[in-house]
Amino acid sequence: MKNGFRQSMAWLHTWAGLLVGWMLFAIFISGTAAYYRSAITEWMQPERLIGQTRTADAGKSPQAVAAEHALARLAVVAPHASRWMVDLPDGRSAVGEIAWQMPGSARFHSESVAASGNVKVRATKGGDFFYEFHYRLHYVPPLIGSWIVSFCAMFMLIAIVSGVITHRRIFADFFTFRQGKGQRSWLDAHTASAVLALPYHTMVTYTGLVTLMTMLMPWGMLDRYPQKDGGVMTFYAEAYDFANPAPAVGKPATLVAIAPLLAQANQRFGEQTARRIWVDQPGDAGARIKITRGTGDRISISTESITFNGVTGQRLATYARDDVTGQTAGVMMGLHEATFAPPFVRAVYFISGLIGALMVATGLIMWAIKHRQKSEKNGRIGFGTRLVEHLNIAAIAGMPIAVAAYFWANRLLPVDVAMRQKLEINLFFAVWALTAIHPLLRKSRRAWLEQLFFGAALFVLLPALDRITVGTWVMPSFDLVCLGLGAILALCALFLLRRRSPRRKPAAAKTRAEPAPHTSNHTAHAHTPPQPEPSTRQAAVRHTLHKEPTQ
Amino acid sequence: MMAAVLCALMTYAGLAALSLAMHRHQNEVFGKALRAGPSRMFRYAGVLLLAVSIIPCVHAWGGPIGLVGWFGIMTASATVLVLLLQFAPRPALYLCWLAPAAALALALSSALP
Repeated sequence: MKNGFRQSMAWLHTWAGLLVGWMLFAIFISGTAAYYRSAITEWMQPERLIGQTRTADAGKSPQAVAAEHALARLAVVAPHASRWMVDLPDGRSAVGEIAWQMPGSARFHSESVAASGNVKVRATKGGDFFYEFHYRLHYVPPLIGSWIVSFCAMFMLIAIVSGVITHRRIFADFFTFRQGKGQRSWLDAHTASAVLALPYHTMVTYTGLVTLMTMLMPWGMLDRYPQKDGGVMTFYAEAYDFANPAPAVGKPATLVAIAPLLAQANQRFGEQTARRIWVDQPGDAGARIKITRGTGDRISISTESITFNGVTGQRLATYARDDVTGQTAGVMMGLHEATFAPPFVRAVYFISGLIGALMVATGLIMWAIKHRQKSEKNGRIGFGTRLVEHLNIAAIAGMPIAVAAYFWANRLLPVDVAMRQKLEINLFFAVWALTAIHPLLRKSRRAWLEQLFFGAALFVLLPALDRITVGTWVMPSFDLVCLGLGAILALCALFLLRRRSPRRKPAAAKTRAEPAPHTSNHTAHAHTPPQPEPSTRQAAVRHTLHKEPTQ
Repeated sequence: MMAAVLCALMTYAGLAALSLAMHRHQNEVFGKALRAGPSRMFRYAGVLLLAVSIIPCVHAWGGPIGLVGWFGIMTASATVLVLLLQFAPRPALYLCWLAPAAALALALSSALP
């Protein structure tokens, strides 16, 4: 019975993982990049970093200067908007973000603005592209994108739970990675990357689902907030402090000065912790200004805000969710987005994210290897195996190339080219599509090698490109991470190259010397019934010999 | 920053000690399996080090964020340990001594004016 249970879990783990594996890899990579989204945006707008002259106005905080600057910019680009939004630069970045919404539209248009001065910056989506791709993809309507991501996240949770049951030796093999043993090594890499970051994987998957909870589990909310009482909008207002702008009165009026309001907000929230300004119906007599608190040094992202009359500056309302439910939701979402993270914690988040991508990648590769061996025994390689191998290359080796290409596009496209922001993103997907076509023209191993080396080269040469096009290394830490990523890709490629050389002999000898329990576990994992020890050993030897010509 | 580095070294040493309580890794590092006594000592030392390693994190970042950071740092140092055990088992052992050395250096630097 126990065996049956484990076998069914293994089946579930294999197929739940395979079905959404490629999407999960892309989601992991984009999410990992999104931990540094403001840093990426800064790097992608080097003008800001070079021409930075912080002109300190006497008696005004830099935050107030940035806010005034952003609102002035909004008055130029979107005087008739129904809502303005300003993300103030925080300690981590000098980039402020402005966004606006036109009457009758749900769409936000956004733009980055310098914290001070009049530096002209190139248009780019920057790190926000990865952030948005992570939870709602691209080219598909946001709602459908979110549904696809939710579906994948659900499968991820299933794969994690069934994986812990399937790979039952994860704790005995906790510190184990054995190289040069073919499928065994892949399994080691898969379980090691899974178990070493298991707290992270579980946390990030579960909290990811929590961020999408109003889509995935809407019933409680729908029951409690029936349509006649305003429906979900009331829920959003109460739970997330979110409401659509009230209609304009129709009488023009001048907006009140922002600096005193900011000072009031900071007095309530703590110094420099105001993070976002919402202005509803700017230039109208019914204007409202809402200032929300940033996370500061709390994990929770749950909001606190003050709403002011936009013309008189009178305080109208305050909002805070400090009840248990609100804090629970806030902490979970905060854990997911790592908004709170000090530099070192952010770095370990980043590393854990990469390990997550590695876990997905090794799982996918293992499936392909296992099925290729199986079908080679049968004499022909089926379409399914080919498809998985092909998609593995396009997803695992191709996505990093696309990410690097996105950065290259940012530096190589002319600064003033029209639709620049869109062009960069289109190039990202165009390059990714090319990496999906490339394996059709090449043998599997060759395609892997070429793509991995190409990706490594793109990343390693990125600092040089930065130096040539901009004239200086605008953000050395970014360059160092690029070099590191390039090195990882190059190591993967070298690993693949080495496996080509005739090195199978000692590995085969080692397999034979392996103590029996490991071998039998290995075969148990491969879904074959347990066999008495001697025949297992022979099988292992035959197995290696059988693989010999193909290596 | 210093606290994070200290925590990383301590979790590394703790995890290394736990791994050295296992026969497989004893074989990798010492070339032979140890007897029950030393193995048990390694296990106790590992648990103790891991338990203590959360202190610098909480000290630097406060309770909640310290806990999150501690888990993350443990993941990072475990990854380093796993790779070292396979590719350079002896250096994997030597790296353990960095933790007490760093702790001593930190204590001295804070004690001295």
